Amino acid sequence: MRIRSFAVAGFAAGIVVAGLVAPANAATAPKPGSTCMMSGDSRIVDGRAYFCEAGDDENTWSSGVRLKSSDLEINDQWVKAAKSGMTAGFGVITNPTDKPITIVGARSPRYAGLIQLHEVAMQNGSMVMQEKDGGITISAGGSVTLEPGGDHLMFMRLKQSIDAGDMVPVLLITSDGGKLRFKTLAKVYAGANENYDDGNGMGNGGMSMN
Amino acid sequence: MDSSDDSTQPRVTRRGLLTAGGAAIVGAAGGVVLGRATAPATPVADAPAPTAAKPTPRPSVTETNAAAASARQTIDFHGVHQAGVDTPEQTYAVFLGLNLASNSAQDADSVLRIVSDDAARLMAGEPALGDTEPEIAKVPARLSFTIGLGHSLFEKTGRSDMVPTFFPTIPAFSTDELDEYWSSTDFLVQIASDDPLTLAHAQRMVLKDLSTLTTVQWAQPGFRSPTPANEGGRAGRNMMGQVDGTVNPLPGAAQFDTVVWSNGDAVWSAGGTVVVLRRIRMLLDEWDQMDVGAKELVIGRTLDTGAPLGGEDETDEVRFDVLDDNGLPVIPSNAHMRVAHADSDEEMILRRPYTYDAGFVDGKQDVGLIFAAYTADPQRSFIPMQERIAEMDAFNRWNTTIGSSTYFIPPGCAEGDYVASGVFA
Repeated sequence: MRIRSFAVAGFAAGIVVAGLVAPANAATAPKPGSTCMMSGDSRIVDGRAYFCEAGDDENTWSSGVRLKSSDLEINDQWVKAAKSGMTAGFGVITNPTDKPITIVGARSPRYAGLIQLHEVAMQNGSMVMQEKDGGITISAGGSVTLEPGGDHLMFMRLKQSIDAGDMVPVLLITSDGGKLRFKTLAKVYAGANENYDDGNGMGNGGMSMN
Repeated sequence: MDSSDDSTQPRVTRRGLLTAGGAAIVGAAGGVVLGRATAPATPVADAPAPTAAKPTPRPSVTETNAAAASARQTIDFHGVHQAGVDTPEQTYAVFLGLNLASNSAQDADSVLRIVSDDAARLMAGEPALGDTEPEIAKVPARLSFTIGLGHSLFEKTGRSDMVPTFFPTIPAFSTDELDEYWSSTDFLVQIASDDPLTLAHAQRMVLKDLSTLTTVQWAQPGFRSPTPANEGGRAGRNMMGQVDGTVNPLPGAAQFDTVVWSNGDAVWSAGGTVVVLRRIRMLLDEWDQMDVGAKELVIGRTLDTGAPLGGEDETDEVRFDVLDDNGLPVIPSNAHMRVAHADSDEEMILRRPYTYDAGFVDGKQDVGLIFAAYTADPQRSFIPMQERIAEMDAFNRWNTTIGSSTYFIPPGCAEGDYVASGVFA
């Protein structure tokens, strides 16, 4: 199912950009359970976050979760510079609490129409990027490294180029409504060019990673 | 002879050098430790005869020997001053002359942010963000980064009013044969380490990171003898065999602060310094034609110990007023060390030279000195000294300055900050 939801993403990026960007900024709360286009999309309305969740048949809006400050910490964060299209963000996220915490959403509305939480996995003998089911969970007292070739934040539908030296603001949201705000340094990087598991053989085509 | 007022001056120098002698003893002791720590061989007496060909295990890097300790040694990026100036000279260095690809002040700010971030991590022995060779980063070997700003950077970004008053352009001197190629650029990035691979990695990392923001006009790699090989702490030698850098101020002393660090004419420039980078080609084939005695008269020091003529040790007091049996000064009036001599702390410079070997040009080897002079104000130190040298230094015949550039080295920054933050933002 992840496969299909991402195929939608691939097309959406090319075809219905204008139509999709607007709702993300709209100040109306989506009706939980109603259909949404792109998994990973999110809205923040009246202090509550709503996420577009991948479903078996269709993607639907989650119920709103009240936002609060998160205990998570991030270090060594950076994002690959890109002129347009998509790019990836990385860093080391630490959970100092005694309970696991799951990141379910990420936003950078100034730069990206959408950020998905991705993993890199082996599919049919090649490494592909795909949306990570259930988000990214950091165990109690543990940490997760987002890195090229592994889990990462997929910045999609870039609204402006991310240039080397830019400090890109990002907001991570956890399943219990925790907010982690940080700025991430944009750097030139040649790697992180894994193919997308789009189910359509689109591969990296049409996505500028530079 | 203009020696009458010189006789009172060398005392300052001598005091500094006596302290240097103390450091030399420590250096020598360090050498002994190094020799002993690495000496014990793997005991083989009881080892069974090998049944199959096995590679000989390499000594572990984690062994607590001096070499490993040196490989792990780090220098702080953050601080009042930038590193790489009062840092004891690392064995290898590269000076990178970079130009901003645009005229954007914001891009200039990005350069400073990126270089500072790379520097802070790599100098700490940690990989840079997005480091594709993180393993190399774990051997910092006293890696240092030093960032310099050229006049052209201030101009093209509309910041001409921020050029420090103590950062003048350096004129061409009458003996210079300058190649524009080696001239001042928008940025200087000086990187140094005791490990040449570490240095090469740091250089590649930062240039990759700056690839969309800057272009490289020139790179000047240089080297010098490792400190322990410097004959017990004596200033290093150059390719002419001369002991070079004897009269340097010592880091930590008040004199060093006077000579090197500027009080600034604005908050952002206080604690900075100015570097003058001269690329000096040595005419070694011609120098070879001279006998030792003649060479020593040109310099004013002996070749073996670096002692001033008339003295015995490098640290001996320099006496410009001593005459030989013929009534001529023992240190000739046009000897290099006499012409370059500073009459006060304000006139002194910090010499941090590296030898360059640029291979062969038209069948002739191009070897010389990357003469890096650091001063709180070149107008009171380097420029008058170089004017005297151009006018009368006997040494000029065997040297040609082919490149000259100068940069303001801003002060250091605190953790979480970057060099010259706010100046171009």
